[in-house]
Amino acid sequence: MRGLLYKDWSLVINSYKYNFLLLLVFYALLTALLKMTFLAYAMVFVVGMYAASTTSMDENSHWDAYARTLPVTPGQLVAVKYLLTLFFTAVGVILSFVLLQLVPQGVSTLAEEVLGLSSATLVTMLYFSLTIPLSYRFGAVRARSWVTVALLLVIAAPAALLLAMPEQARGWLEGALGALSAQVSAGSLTEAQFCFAAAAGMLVLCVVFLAISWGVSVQIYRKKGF
Amino acid sequence: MAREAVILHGVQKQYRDFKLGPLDLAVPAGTIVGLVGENGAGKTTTLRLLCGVSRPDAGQVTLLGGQPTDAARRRRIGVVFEDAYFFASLTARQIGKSMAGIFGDQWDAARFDGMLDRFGLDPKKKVQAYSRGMRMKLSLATALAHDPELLVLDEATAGLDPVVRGEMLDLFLEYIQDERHSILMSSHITSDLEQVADSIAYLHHGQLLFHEDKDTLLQEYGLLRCARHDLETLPPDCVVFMREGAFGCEALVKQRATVRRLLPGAVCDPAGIDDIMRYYSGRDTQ
Repeated sequence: MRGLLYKDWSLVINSYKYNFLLLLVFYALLTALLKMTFLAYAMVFVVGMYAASTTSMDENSHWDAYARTLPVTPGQLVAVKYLLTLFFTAVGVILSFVLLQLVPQGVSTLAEEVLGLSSATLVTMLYFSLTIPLSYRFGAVRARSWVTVALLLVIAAPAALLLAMPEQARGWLEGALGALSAQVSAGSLTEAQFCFAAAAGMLVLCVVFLAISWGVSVQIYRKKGF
Repeated sequence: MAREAVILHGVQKQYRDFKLGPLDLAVPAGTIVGLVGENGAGKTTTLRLLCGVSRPDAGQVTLLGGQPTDAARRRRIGVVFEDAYFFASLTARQIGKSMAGIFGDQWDAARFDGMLDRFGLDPKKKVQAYSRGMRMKLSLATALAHDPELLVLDEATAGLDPVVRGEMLDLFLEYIQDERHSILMSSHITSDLEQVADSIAYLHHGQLLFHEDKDTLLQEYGLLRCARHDLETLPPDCVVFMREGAFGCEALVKQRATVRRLLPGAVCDPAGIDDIMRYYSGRDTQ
């Protein structure tokens, strides 16, 4: 496992170190000088997806066939992608937070920043969770199209579900959301508390996405033929 | 130690347009087995099945006394595939460190560094900066540094110049010296196999046509040039394949000594592995 982590780490460092430095300078300048805070949040996604790109490098060098001859399991081979992505996403979150502090007379509160970073993390994890199993199933290039389709489904599904809901269930949901909104407005739940609660909810969702994705990826990888 | 490093028993693998087997093949411990065959004959498929890269649809693969799916067995093999390795943006040093992490204490870093030094490979250079010969040497160093009992080589000497090939063949012979190690190597360069292999297995259209001791093979087969009526006097099992031309017949024959005795006036030269393959594959077009 240590060797696999080192291999993917080396691939990312060799391929992206200059890209990363350029990105850091460019994003830092734009965030600080032009108050383009969305770039700081985008940093989470860009850095977080570095490890995912190693799947196309593996494919290019037929690493997966070679790796099957080594004393490692499919679970370990897949797990390194997830572990490294968690690490790089964490790095992205920290850097993003630092960039946000560079904005003179900050435009957002700490709670808003936490909510923003959690949202960026959720998007990164969702995208990654779709990319890895689809890459193992269809190959890195074809997976991009499939990820787009899957994302559309993920976005469209809740809307479709809402429309398909019986009137009574929809009423109950609207009522619950209204009550939550009223609680925030009435002050029993401060805006900061709401932001932190939403952030925590999103992080739980990240864990769920990753766990499902890892399980599916291992199954696909195990059955993959060479 | 098992008497056979690898045993394939009734192994079959079906692809959309190709079927391998049923295949029975054994690699005796302490020997070099050369796997020959035309492009698409199933050599790479066979090697991948025995290394655990693919699973057979039927039959059984025994690798060093166990299953290839068992990581502990794979720990005892070293593999060089023609087209599957680490991504070329890595350096030899990074590959060494990665393999050290994978093999743990079994990885001999000094041995790996020694081989890089012996092959003249700069460990700080990226693999993409290496020539093909250098990449194959690096693959070999990677495959040997944990002292595997079985070395599996898929076209490891293809595309290399004679000097580099010679170096690699020397290394194979060195590796096999203590009779604890075995090699199964596929190659189109049959002269390499004639130099180092103990036995030759010939795959043709997914079927094993023969697996014979190399010296016996080279002594047994002959290229006979004679008139047709002379050929017809030979026992039928002597003639593997015959071609008839304007000036007589040319045939691949078995039992060269018998043929020479029966046809003392005919020319019967020893047949090389290339000749044997050429004639066997030509037999199908009859």
